[in-house]
This record gives sequence, structure tokens and C-alpha cells, in this order.
Amino acid sequence: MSTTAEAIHDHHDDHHELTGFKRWLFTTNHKDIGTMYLIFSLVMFFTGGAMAMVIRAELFQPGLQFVDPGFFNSMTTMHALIMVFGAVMPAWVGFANWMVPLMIGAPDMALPRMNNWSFWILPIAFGLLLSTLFLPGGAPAAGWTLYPPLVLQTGEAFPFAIFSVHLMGLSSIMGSINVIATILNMRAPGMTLLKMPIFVWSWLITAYLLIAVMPVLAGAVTMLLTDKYFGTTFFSAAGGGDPVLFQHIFWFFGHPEVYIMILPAFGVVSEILPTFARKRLFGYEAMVYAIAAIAFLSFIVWAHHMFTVGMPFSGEVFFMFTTMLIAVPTGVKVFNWTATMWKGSMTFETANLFALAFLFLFTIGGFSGLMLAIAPADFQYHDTYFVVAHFHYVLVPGAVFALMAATYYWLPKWTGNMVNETLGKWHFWLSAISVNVLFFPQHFLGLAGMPRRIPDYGTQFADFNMWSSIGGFAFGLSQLMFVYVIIHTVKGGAGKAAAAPYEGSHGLEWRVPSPAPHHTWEEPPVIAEDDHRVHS
Amino acid sequence: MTNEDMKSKRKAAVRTAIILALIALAFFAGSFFFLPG
Repeated sequence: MSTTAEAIHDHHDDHHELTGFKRWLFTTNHKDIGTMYLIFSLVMFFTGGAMAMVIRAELFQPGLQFVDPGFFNSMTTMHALIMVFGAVMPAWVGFANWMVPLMIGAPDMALPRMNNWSFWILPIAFGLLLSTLFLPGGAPAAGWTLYPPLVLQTGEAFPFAIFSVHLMGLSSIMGSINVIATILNMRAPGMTLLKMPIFVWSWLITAYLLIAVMPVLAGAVTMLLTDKYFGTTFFSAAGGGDPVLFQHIFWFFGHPEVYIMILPAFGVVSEILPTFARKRLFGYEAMVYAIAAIAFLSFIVWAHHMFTVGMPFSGEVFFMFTTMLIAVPTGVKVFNWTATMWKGSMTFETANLFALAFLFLFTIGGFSGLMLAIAPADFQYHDTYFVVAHFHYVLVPGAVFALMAATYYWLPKWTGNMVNETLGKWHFWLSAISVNVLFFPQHFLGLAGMPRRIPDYGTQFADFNMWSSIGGFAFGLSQLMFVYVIIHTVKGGAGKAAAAPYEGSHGLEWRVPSPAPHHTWEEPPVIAEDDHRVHS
Repeated sequence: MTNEDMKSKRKAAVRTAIILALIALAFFAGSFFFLPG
């Protein structure tokens, strides 16, 4: 019997020899599963994107053009559910699968079979959710927040949607258990916690957030299910319940969920900026503590989504100030990223351009968030397009740009080929310009009083809506270029990539060949006590 | 890394996973007792 880790690999990774669909169905290899997560999220990105195109086409001019209002509401609801749970979250789990074991010197995720399950639950969950488009009564249309009593009017789609949310939650919880178990138990000798790359740190903290809040969402939707079918009255005033209770439970999940989507983005940007500034990350430990502080604060701010619902004055003040406190650790991060670039030898590869755009545009989303945090002002902004502009700035040129930055950054490691920078830069500039044309006018629409979730509007909103739709179509089309660049790189790109293709990169992932072999770190690297170059 | 090292790492990982799953269950149960205000 072999005394190496290969013996262990032999019994669970021999599916590597399988071909065709079975190879992917039974794989327990973290790179295969990471690839599947990333491809799945890309498919969902385009599915949710197609729904956004329907929304923007309808809003191109006043009046009802293409779809009836019920279907419009289904589109906004499904777009959000798909983008949040099907595109952004699985994409980050895909990055965690691919990169965390490579970055900490582990041969694989700690629980490879559970890893396989975590992924394969997802297509079932989204198959269920998408199937509701074809059911009598149509797909869920009460918004992704699923507020009762409106959501209880959903037709036959209701149990499908609830069960699909359960499955998404199960997948996320299993994925995050795996990430934590891997990071805490599988690190290479000498890889102490404060030597871990920031991306690994950001995922460790994100995974704890997921474990705390996904079960709460599962509880909330379970109560909706029992209210509708089993005669309970958790959220029905007629039976002594309270619909506002749902909003509290939902946002106890919902606000940390925002950070679940953005903390790994912070991690990725903290990897990319130092690489292309050819400097160490400024204030590594402060960055770790800032992520932890943001995660902690995310649990005590939830009711800022509900200022207009009505709550005691002390409650409004508490949630207003805790929300504003988030600006402190976030400010630490923005300061440190800027200080990292200060006097660095900057170059502007596509990955870095997306990271820089993240820095500027996410900050715009952060500032509009601060405006929304002011309780008396929120009474004016609430449920207007200002909120839509705010969270899209945080999630699109925020989380999605970080996902693109990460893809461009690590594509050479995955494929063994360099990205064609000309194509990449075309993709970047088209995306960066169109995303602002798409979302910036929505601030003005909101401030002028245009409500969210409406298929028709007054003529005073026509011009900004037209610009927003033009930006939307341009942004959607630009993303076809992203797919083209990925396929181009897989097929050879701009030539072979070295193990460490960027002179400023230092993590363990750059110490294995490109493309990364199917099995890596079977003999873990030993990190010397004075070797601090294993993080950016 | 020896087979034994690897086995003990996996064992520790399973222990971590069980604890985390119990925490997740506790949050699920807790959501039914969430009574603000």
C-alpha cells in the first residue's frame, strides 16, 4: 500500500478516468467541480440577463409594449433570484473550489463527495425554479423578497419556488461547510491563519455568514409554506401572526447575503491590485479585521431595509447608526487598496482594469448606500429606482466586475494559456461604459420619484429610462465578448502561460504549473516561518 | 504526506463539518423563535 496521499486519491478520484457525462457527474476533484460551478453560473448569468433584457425592453418607453404586468413582475422576481442564487453565489463557490486548495497547499477540498453533491443539487434547484415559468398562474411574481401576504397569492408555482429555495440553501450550506473544513484542517504545514491569502480569508468569513443565514431563509420560506398549505398563521394577522415578522426574518438573512456576494470580491481585488502594482498589499492584517468587522456588522443592520414599515424611534436610530458604521471598515479597505497602488509600478492588464473599475464603481454603490442609511431620507428614496441603482452598482460593477477580474486573472492558471489582452480590453471598456449608461440614470429616476417594479411609468421618466435601456442592451451584448474571450483562451489564447505569468504574483497557486495539473499539492509545500510571500 | 496524516486530516474535517451542520440546524430552528419588538 502506498504511503502517500495518492493512495487516498486513488479511491475517490479514479472517476477522472471516466469519460463523457459520467466524468462530470461523479467527479470529486475540486478543479472539475469548480469548473462546473463556473460554467453553471455563466449559463445562469445569461438566463437572468435575458430576463433583464425583457425588463429593459418593456421600460424602453412609457406604456405597455411587450409583456403584461403579471409577467413583468415574474421577470423582476426571477431575474433577481437567478442572479443572486444562480449566478453570483455559485460563481464565488466555483472560485473557492478552484483556488482555495491551490492557495493553501491542500490536495483537494476536505469533503470531496459532499462537494459533488453541493454542485449537482443546483441544476435541480434551478430546473425547478425555471419550470415555474410554464405552470398555471406563472412564475413567482412577488419580488425576490417573497413578502407575504402577496407571495401567498402565487399559483401552482409556489411550492416549486419554495422547494427550489430550500435546495439552493442546502447547496450553499454544504459548500460553505466544505470551505471552512478545508481551510481549518487542510492547510499546508507553516501556512498559519495570518499567512493565508486574503481571498482565502474572505471566503472563510463568507462561509461562516452563509452557515448562519441560509438556514434562517430556509426557516422563513418553510413558514410561508406552512402558512399557505397547513393552516399556520406565522405571517397572518387574522390568526395572531404578523406579516412584518417575515420581513425581519428575511432581512436577517438578506443583509448578510449582500456581504456573501461582496466579501469574496474584496478578497479577489486584494489579490489582483498588489500583483499589478508590484507591491505587497498595504495593511494585510487590517484588511482581514475589516472583513471580519463588516461580517459582524452585517448581522445588526437588517432593519434598515424596513425603515418605512414602522418601528420605534430607538430602532430607527440604532439601525441607522449601525449601518453607517459599516462605512468605517469599508473605508479601511478602500484606503488600503489605494495605498497599495501608491507609488507602485502599475500596469493595466484586463484583470487589473476590472479590479480598478470595481474600486471606483463599488464605491459609488457604497456612497448611495450611505444615503439610503439615513432613516429620514430613506422615506423619500424607499422603493424607488434610487434603490435599484444603488444595489445594482454594488452587485454589477461591484460583485460581477470582481468575478470578471478574477476570471481574467486566473484563466492562465486554469487553461495554461494567456488571455488576448486586446480582446479583454475591448470587453472591459464596452462593459465599463455601458454599465454606467445602464445604472447611473436610475439614480435620477429614483430621486424624481419613479417607483420600483412597475412596467409602465409617467412620461417625465421617459428619457432616463430610454438611456438606461440602451445601456442595458449594450451591456448584455458586451458579455457575449466575455464568452468569446474565455473560449479563445481555452483554445490557445495569446500563447502558453508560465507557472507564474505575472511578475508581481506570489501565492502558492503560482507555484504549480499552468494549466494546473488534475492533482496538485499531493505532497504539501512546507511554508518556512519567514516566508511571507504566500499571500499578496 | 503519509496516508495516516491524510486520514487524520479528513477525520478532523468531518468533525468540523458535523459541528458546522449543528450550528446551521440551530439557526434554522432559531428562525422559528425570532420575535423582534
